[in-house]
Amino acid sequence: MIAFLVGLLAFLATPLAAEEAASPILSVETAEPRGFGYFVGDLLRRDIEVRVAKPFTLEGATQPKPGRLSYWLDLRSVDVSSHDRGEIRVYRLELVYQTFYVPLSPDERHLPALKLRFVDGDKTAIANVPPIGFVMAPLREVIPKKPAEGPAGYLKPDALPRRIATSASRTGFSAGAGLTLLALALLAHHEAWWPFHKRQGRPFGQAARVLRRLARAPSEEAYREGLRDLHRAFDESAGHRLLAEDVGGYLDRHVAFRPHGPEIGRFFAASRQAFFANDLKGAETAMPLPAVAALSAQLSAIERRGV
Amino acid sequence: MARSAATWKWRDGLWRLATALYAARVAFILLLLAAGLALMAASGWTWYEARRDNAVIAALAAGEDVAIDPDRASPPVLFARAHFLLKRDRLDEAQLLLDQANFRADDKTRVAMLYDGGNARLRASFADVENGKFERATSLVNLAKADYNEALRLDPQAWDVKYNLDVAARLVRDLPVIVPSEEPLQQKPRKDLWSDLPGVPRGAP
Repeated sequence: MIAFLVGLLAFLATPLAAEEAASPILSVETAEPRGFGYFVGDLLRRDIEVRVAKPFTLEGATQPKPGRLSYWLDLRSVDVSSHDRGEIRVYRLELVYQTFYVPLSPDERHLPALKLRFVDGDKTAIANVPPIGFVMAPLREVIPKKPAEGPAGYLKPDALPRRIATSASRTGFSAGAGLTLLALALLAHHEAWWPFHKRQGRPFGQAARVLRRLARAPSEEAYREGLRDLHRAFDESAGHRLLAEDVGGYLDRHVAFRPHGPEIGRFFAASRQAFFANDLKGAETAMPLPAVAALSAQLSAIERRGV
Repeated sequence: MARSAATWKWRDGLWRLATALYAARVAFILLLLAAGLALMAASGWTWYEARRDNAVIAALAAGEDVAIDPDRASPPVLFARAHFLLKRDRLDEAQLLLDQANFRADDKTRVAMLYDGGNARLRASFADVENGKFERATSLVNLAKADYNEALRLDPQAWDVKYNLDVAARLVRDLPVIVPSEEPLQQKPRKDLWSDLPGVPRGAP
């Protein structure tokens, strides 16, 4: 006891962390938490700044470690950083404590003192951080009223299970459905699918669809109708009735179709053979229905790309 | 003159870019379609799961003894089942779910489960006190306090937990653990003591 008092006096008599003139510990500063108004479970944050002369460094083993310090106190986190300021190295320790003490009446507790050891080879220096007191308060009166339903009435009621909120996923689902519908509508418009199948400016797309159907069940009638359909597409695309003689001019105006010029010429030749020479058989050999369908599909693809 | 040529070039580049983007518009449409489908599938799945879990939670709240798979059930279902068991004093079964929740539940659910677990233990200890089983009651209170402490570690601002921890701590006070000192408490009797005494006792033989 006497030794303790002597130690305390010695501690009070000497300014903090300036035991010797040559001490490499230049200063120890702390930013303390407020000293009152704490309940069980509360957090306390203590910032410590130690300035040491270089090349002294903080020994890792003396650095406080997070964990349980005593039955009523946890050290939750320790954050150490350092930076150099000329010949001085500044260490910053950020300590967060959590108290689990349950006082019956306002009661003072202490955050423990720290001894931080700084080393440089064989030389060591110790920075003493004093303990710091704070007052904790009880949450309830000392003698609570006796509840009617027995001691269980002292307790706050249980937390109740709750239904999972579905509004976010419902909103997400609707938004996804909306986007999908919009994309499908745009795609249908672009590809001239239903309900845009009668869409202006896609004559070859329309013809290609009809020809694909016709090519599945070839017959003389189907062949004739297929030729007529592709003709109608050419007429609509050209803006007037397009005859075999006009094809050259037409290709000049629709440059994108030019690679298919020979095929187009073959189509017009076959059509002439079928309708003017009345030689359906010969026309079919010159350009069978699948070839007509293929040509219209190719033209439709170019048309979609935008000419 | 040069400036206007540069401007023209710049405009031409922009125009070309716009044309290229317009030509590739079908790619954007497909991208939009994929995004829409992905969003629909993901949120549709969570919605479906939440609906299924809500049915279980509602059944448990209504008092039906619905068994769940502790390894796969979602945290809210774990909590609902644990609450059901704790209300019926099936503490050991509930503890299994709590251990499972510690692995993968969010903090909020874990705090609620720890709090309810502590409450159930405390209520059980009241019954034990009435029946005179003080040892069992003490250990139950200490377990409840451990639950509350753990809950406060996860959420330091949980006021109901603080309050009930206060109740528990007044039933059984915490005491500092006495760390056994490294020095022996009783010193061995010194043998050299006698030598300090003046003279040697003499007596009649």
